[in-house]
Amino acid sequence: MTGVARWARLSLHLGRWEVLASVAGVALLTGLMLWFAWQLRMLAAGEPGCPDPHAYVPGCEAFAQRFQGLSGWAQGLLYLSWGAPFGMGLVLGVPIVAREIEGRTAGMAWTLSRSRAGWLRGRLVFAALVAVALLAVVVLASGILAGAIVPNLKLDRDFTWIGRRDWLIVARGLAALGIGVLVGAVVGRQLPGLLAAAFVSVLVFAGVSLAMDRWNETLAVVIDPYDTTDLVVEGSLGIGGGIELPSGELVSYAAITSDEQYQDETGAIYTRWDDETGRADPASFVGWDRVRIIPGRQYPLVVARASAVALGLGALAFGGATLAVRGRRPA
Amino acid sequence: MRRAMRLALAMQRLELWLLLGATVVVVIAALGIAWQTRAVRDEQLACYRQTPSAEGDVTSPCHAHDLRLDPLQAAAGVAKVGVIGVPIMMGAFLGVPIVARELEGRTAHLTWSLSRSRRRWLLQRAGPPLAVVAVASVAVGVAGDVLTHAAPWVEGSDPGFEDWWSRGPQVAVRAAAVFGIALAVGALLGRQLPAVLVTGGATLALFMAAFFVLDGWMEAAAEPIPIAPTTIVSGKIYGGGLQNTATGELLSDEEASVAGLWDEDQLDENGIPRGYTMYFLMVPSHRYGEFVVREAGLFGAAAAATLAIGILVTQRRRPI
Repeated sequence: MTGVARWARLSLHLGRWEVLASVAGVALLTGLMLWFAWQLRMLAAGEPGCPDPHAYVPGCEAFAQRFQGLSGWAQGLLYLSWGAPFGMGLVLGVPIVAREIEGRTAGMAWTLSRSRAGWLRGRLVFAALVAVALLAVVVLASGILAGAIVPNLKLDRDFTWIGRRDWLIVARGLAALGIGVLVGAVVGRQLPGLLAAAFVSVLVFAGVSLAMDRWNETLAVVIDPYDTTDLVVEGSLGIGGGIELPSGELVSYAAITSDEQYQDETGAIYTRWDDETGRADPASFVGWDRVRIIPGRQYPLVVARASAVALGLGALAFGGATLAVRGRRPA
Repeated sequence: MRRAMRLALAMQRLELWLLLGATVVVVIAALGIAWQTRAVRDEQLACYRQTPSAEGDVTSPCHAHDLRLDPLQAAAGVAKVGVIGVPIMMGAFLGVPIVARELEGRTAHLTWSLSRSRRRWLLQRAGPPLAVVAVASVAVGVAGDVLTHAAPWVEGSDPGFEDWWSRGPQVAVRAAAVFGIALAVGALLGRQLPAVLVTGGATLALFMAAFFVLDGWMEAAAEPIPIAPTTIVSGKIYGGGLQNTATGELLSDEEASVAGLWDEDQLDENGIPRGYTMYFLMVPSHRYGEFVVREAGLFGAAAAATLAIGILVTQRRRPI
């Protein structure tokens, strides 16, 4: 038996429950996703006269209702594909060190290895490979399902379900794995480690999400929501709105101290109403209603940025776990 | 007795601290958001009273308050996830280790030998954490209730079946059921982490089953409630249509359309087919309590059954 095969067998044996649970979860999720995708495609193929199940087309109401009912359930599965990397990463990551410490086998395992860092690397690489392989399956299946739910959208240039159908799932899984290993190594017990890692993940990913939102705002453009010819809105991500002053400055709605805001059919905003003319008072003109969006064409860049940050976070956590293992007592 | 309680809680102190910390965060967050929502909404209502909308205006004259209410509602959504999730986590993480930790650490033989009986040992170990789960979950459920009642669209009225899963003391009964599952699975598997994973799957299955059973009960209990342009009804709606005023015959929306009742020449001055009243097939809000009791019975039975299984397994299994 080669060294690699022995390493793989040992790693699998040590984490068989976690790997088995992850494989079972992914198999179930993928099976359900593919079944729903198949059902939706069959439904759409059966109504060639109804090209868009999400648009109102006379004569297609019954089809649209059936399609949307089924796709409502299918969209629930995309929430699971959002949660899968966090769950899998923590379940695979936390026990790597915590189990050895809790079971008082860490001293022996570390003594038998050339170095603690080398031992941890061996365990980590296996868990990372399992996570990447299984989450890649989730990415592919959720991509197929998303395509079946919204057949008329160009999803490679669309922010719909970002993080639930793209490679960000894999990157987040590796980040969660890193956090799991680090917290498990610090706490040294499996269940409290899993709990603590879950709480730490919530805090870390919420913070990262807020920071990413600020960073991605640099990609935003301001558009006129009343201009129906502006195609940049397709697949875009809305990140708020505001009022464009005549000076060109964009301010929030709350920046207008007056509680009264009147808007005409062109999106112009006023703060006083003229009862005599039955229209807004032109002298109280403030500016125009505007919307800030990140255009759909920026979707690959946003996913790449978020994935890079998640991978960086994972690497940082791996480094922290190595330091924790090197420094801690094996019991 | 006090020593047994202290020992039972000390053995899970790390999990307890983390989970009680999460409970406190969720309760404070829910109450804080509810308080802020009410305060901003009261200001907005005062603004509406002082600033009536101008004729022909489609925008809110008190729009600035909406900008403060929107993030509060988003935060309320997150707090509701906490109200659902924290009691479930408490049940799972405090239930699993009771037997599984002793088996995994190979200390079960010793502890069971030192006790008068395994059942007595289990009751002493499981009682205190179960009490903590129940009390903390009631606090979380009550905070969820306050949050729902503070929503801008409730305005002191009955929220009915809204936020079913994220409010009320029934949250504690669900947590007790998860605790029972966790205890039984931990005793069966004898390993903590796999037991938590299996408990997660079993909990999901239980909640899905409960959802479908409850939905079936509610749909069966739905009754036709006549509605008019001036009446306000609230409850869980399962359909609707038209009721013949003379004969009392009920027609669904689809049947009414097929019969041509919605044709322009059939409508009265209120836009409703002549000789008919509209109705909703619904469970009225005032029956909320009845279904809470039914759901509590369902989860209570699950808790009792799984705790009994846990006791049975602990009494019979080998201590390794």
